[in-house]
Amino acid sequence: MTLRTQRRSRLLSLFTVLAMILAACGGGDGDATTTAAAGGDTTPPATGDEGGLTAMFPDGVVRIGIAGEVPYGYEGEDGEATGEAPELARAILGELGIDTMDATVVDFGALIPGLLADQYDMIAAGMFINPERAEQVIFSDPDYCGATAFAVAEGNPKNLTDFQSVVDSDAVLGVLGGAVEETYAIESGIPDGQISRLGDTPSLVDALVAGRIDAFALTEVTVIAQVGEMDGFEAAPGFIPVIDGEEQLGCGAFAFNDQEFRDIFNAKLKEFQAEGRVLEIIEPFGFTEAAVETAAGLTVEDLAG
Amino acid sequence: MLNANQFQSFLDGAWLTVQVFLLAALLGTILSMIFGIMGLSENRFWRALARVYVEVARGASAIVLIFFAAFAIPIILGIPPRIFAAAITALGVNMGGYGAEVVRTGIQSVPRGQTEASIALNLTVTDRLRHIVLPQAVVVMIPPYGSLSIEVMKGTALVSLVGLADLTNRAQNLRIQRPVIEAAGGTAPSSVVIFGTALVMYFLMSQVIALFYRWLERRVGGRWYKERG
Repeated sequence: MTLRTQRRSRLLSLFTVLAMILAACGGGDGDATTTAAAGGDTTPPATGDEGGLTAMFPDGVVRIGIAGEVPYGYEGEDGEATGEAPELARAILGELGIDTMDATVVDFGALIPGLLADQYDMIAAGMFINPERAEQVIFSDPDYCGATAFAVAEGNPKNLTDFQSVVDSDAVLGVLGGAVEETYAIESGIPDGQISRLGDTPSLVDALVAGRIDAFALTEVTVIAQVGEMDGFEAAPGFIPVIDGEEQLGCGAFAFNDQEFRDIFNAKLKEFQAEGRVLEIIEPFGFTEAAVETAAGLTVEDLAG
Repeated sequence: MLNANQFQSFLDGAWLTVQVFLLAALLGTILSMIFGIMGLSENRFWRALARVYVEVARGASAIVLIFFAAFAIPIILGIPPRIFAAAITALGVNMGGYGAEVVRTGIQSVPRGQTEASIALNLTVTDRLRHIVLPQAVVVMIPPYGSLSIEVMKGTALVSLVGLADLTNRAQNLRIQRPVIEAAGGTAPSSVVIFGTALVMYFLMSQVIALFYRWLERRVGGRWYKERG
């Protein structure tokens, strides 16, 4: 063996080792991500369910993406995914023959990129339908509609009631990067210096407590869940944002990358709505009958522009 | 303070951090050796290739590399993402960029006379590297390589952003649960307690790595000095 070929074979063996390491890493995926079972029951789904998802997901496992936002979708203290969207998804998927959900928690802004990269099969995070997002993902029809609200210091000293009131004051408004409130804030004409973009809800709460922002804007349900019980802070009354004279009704839905999956899921969601079964599932998370009823009367086309 | 369940969740997260670090460091070390030695090749092509790797791997932001491996590569290749493998590859490739320079400069620090003497003794290129140059170079490489390893271990926190349940991810998750814990009548740990605990855990892990390299330095250095007489 000449020196040259010897050297080459050694290099080759190094690359082989490398490939083996990468292959070994791949195997760890299931343990590494946050896993949440739909229930204790892991028996295979009953065969022969018409219109079910068992052909599409033979393992009976659907992977969902959530953003870690109370009360929409988060990992509960027992390590299982819970919240408005995961619980509703669990009930709907259960009737379609899926009994296990694998949840991945990512930053809100990373939800859509993760779906497009096939990191999970659907987003169950209560994501609002809007035209920009509808260009990238396929939404189901909405399952709730909600108002926006500000979290402010007790007594609302700067009198912040809606986005326009922030423009008229010197207040700094915190928003979740990539969330609709950021768009509302910009389109309402709030100067960039008065908008503070943060990565997750706890950071908004910490920033408000530390006085770095005067208020933060999220859906009314979230704001009440975050500061409703907190001393020294309060949830200002909810409002429907108005941009260019048009009311921006915020309605959340599930998002998909696969048309067929979305259609099967959506048909079952419509069934749940017709039978009035959505409210009982999401009521414990602070959603009202009005929120569910408004959504039941709308389709994704009404909201995607 | 953290309750037992919360602390266990932190420990689980720390264990994943350890796994990500060890695998990334293994890949990074292999890449460092390959490209560090390649950077000293007499063949211009290999040298250029090593240069390109070092500049690209070192010049890319680790978090962007992780996002690229996790979100872009699956789209390019049309395969489902393997987040764990993607995160380790990105961190390992990034580490290799710095490590290759440590290896290259380590080898270059061995006096030229050593190489000349081994050529005079008619040793082959591989024997020269294995028995003469590398044993002396490794002694010089260990301290900067130890610092690099600690840096990579701390950098593993970035994987929390693509949904891996590492120590940082567990800390963030506990912050997210605050309203739920309080609604159930419990007392949620403050951000001070949560991040304070995470800080201490990262510090302890970095100390273990530091001790390992101190031990390695004594062992390898000692043997070399003994052999040299």
